[in-house]
Amino acid sequence: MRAIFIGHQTWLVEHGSTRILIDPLLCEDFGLVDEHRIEIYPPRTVDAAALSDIDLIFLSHEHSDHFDIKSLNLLPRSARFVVGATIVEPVKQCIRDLGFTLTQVNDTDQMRVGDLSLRFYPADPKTAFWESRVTQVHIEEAEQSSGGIFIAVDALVSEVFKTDIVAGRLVPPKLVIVSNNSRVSPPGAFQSLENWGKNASDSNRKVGPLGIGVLSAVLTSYMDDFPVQPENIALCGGGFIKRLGAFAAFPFSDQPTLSRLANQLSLDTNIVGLLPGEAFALDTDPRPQAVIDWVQVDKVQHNLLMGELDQFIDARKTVEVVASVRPDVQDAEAYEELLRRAQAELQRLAKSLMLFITGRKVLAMSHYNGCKLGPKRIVFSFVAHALGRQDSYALNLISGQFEAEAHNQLESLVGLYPFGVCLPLVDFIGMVEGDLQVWDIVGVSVQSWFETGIFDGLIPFFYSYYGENGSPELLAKIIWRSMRNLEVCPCN
Amino acid sequence: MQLTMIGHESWSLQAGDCHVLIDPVLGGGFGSDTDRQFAIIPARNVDLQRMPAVDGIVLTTEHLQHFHPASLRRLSSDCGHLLKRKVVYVPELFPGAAEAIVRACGYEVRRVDTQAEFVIGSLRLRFYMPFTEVLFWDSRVASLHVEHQGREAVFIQSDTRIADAYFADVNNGAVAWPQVMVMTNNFQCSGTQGPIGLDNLLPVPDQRYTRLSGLRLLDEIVHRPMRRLNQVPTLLLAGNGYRDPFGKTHHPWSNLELAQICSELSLLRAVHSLTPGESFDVAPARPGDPAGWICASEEQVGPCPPKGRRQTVSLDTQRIKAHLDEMARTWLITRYGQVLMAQSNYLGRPVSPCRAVLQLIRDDGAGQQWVLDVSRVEFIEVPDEGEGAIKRYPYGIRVDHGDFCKLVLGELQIWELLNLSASQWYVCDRYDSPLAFWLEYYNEQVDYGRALRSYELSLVTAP
Repeated sequence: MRAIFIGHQTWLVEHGSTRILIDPLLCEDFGLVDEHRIEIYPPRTVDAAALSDIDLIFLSHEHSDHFDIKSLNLLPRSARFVVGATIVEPVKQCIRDLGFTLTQVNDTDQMRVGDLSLRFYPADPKTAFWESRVTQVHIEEAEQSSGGIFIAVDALVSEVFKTDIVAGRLVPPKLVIVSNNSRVSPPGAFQSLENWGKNASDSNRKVGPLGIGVLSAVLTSYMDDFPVQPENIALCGGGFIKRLGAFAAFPFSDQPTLSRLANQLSLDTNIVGLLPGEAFALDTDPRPQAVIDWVQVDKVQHNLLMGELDQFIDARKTVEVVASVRPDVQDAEAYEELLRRAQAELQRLAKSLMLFITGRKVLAMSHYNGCKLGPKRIVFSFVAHALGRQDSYALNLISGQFEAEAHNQLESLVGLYPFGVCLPLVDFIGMVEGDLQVWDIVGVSVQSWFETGIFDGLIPFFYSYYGENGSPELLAKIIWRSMRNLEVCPCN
Repeated sequence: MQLTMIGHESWSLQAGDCHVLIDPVLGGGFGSDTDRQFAIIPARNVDLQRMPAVDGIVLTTEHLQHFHPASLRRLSSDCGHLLKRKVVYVPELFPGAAEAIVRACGYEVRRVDTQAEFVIGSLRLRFYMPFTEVLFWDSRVASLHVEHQGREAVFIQSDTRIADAYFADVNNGAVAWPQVMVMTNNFQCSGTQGPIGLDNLLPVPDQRYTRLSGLRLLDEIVHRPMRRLNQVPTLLLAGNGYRDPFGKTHHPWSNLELAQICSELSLLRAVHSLTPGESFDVAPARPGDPAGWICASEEQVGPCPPKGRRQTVSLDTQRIKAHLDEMARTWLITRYGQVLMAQSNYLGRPVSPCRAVLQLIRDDGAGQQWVLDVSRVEFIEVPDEGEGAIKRYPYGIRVDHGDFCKLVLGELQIWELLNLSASQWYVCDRYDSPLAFWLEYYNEQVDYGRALRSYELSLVTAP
């Protein structure tokens, strides 16, 4: 059995004559909104014709870095398509609309597919809200179970899976695939969950041995309560870039470099870090393995991106927040109309926000920046750069309503409110009304700040509330638009 | 300020004409037994005649890799003219026996409260002790913060966790932000020569060495401390700069290797390591000119074989029994005793009240075996079962008879014994194991008489 890395979190597992494709991203970019597709990193091309005989496609969850309609459209409809039962309905409908036969799994019973045997596991319930629909898969050779592959990406390792190993129902895997989603932003740059209250370019979040934390998070903390230490752990994930100014690739996202350093620090486990098109074989199969020439890394562009990153850091360059992802509003009347819709949306989300971790955290605070906090503790600030307009609203925890806030400068808002977000009005409305996805604007045009943990702020709230998990109807709208533009091509 | 590495964790710190020595071990090694010295590596010669005159000496701990009475005596007797003041500064809980020896070497001893500022020439210094979450035998170790003219500072971690109070003091500006921090790496493991330290003779995986131990080490000593400082300094990795006499200790990674890996995993802050004689300029945080008074010397290729037959010490059985019974009481009223009490099964069989065994091994085969009976709180001598005892008792210590007697007489320190001839097995956490108990029981901090004798002997036997 061998696992071929195709890029980001896409894997092909092969054994004998059986081939299983996981979370296929096959184009040079991905995304459900055509105007905002995101480039795969390292850049590579995939000849999808080489996948015309795959037996099964498995989708771990519905996020656009796993579920890409354009990629799915390149695949043979003869392949069985498997998803976890909790995956949102619009995704299931889309798969059916593309012409696939869909199987939903809701148990951990063994599924035999040719020479391979699969089991599907629900993610650990402690996983972040917006990743809670992830299904993890264990794949082993059907004839002899001498340890298989467990793909644990984007969620905490399934409790059920761990129990199966402890109880002896499953031979411990030889290879565990984990995702490195750290996306450390260097000084001068910012990332999706950036804390704009604490991102000074010389802070301990920007400077220092942060890569050790990246490796520790995915290789030791994450695997702490794994019942046995697997022989091999493969790193993947973080395999995309959002190009902003002179900055694209994130530090510590080059898996071969990370695995080399991790192996220097390991006395037991082998860490695998592959480039797209490279494979990891679990055993030496006597039959010759097919050469993977259908995935080609663009080495020139890859080197260029890595060089660009080094230069960005060494020359202390900076990137600016994008004025807006959607075309900015151009006249006052249109602005007022959008603002009315935003105000209505704020009143709608207030209750959810107060019940979300953000609301709970802010309720537990008494002071901020040395001052006693009043009832207004969370602020939303909408901007329209083209018009020079900015309007802010703060959530009053006594009334449960958003109220207009006179301060508009980001610095004053950060000074007054422990939690807040500042974003273009058009992007907020675009997200609320399903014209783009939250993933398209975070780390691009949104600035948020928070106290306590990185998952306690408003961006995680957006992920949960407006993401596929909380708002499948927005996803349905986006899928519908994407499908309308797609020339559905049944490949066989 | 310029920080110069003298060897292992001995430092010279200079600012203008002010010079402080920190934990000076100035000879080729350290240890209570002349025949079995722990050698500083890489080997170097410290030319005291060329050393700049010293304003004061700071000791961070009484551990023998830091506190070397022979070096202190040599400085005061042979190089007295180089000491501007014969003062040694120690942390507030520095053991009394160690203090007595420092005085006997001709120094005035000044105890300094943790976090209280003390001044040596133009330098302002503070000790920081973590107090909590440290092993008992590391509980009196202090790390050191040194400032010069309020604008440059260096922090030297000793063999202990960095105190929470230190991070707080730096972040709120109570002390100057250190441009440079020395972080200590003490990771070592058993090699092919047999177990060292607290390692287990039973063939069970030890979490200390599994699951990417090097990564966990760097997370603990480099990454986590750095996340606690608002501004990240430049780091120097130090420690592990000695070799035991039999070459039993194995270092999977040199500090240079670790520093290079850290640097690759770091943004805008390189991580360094120094060899003896190399210096680091604190304010610009970059390597400085090497010190002319510390020169690399030819290193012994392998461990030195003992010269001839060692002088052995023996105690009569009655005296050993009395000593062990006294120890039994302490053993059983501490958490180390609790793990013995809780152990009702071993290798699938119920265990008798005799749950720990001590084997005193002799070359002539006339070894002794003592078992600890938890129901009688005493040790009982039984026929020696040799290596078979490991299958019968869940806990056990094997140690050279002569070395054990030396330990009892205060002629060998427990830490040395662990790295010379003692080994153990256990079915509990390594820090609840029998030798972990001994590390506490025979510690210099709680045993004034033995500690004083070992210090005196180290002076007598010093080359």
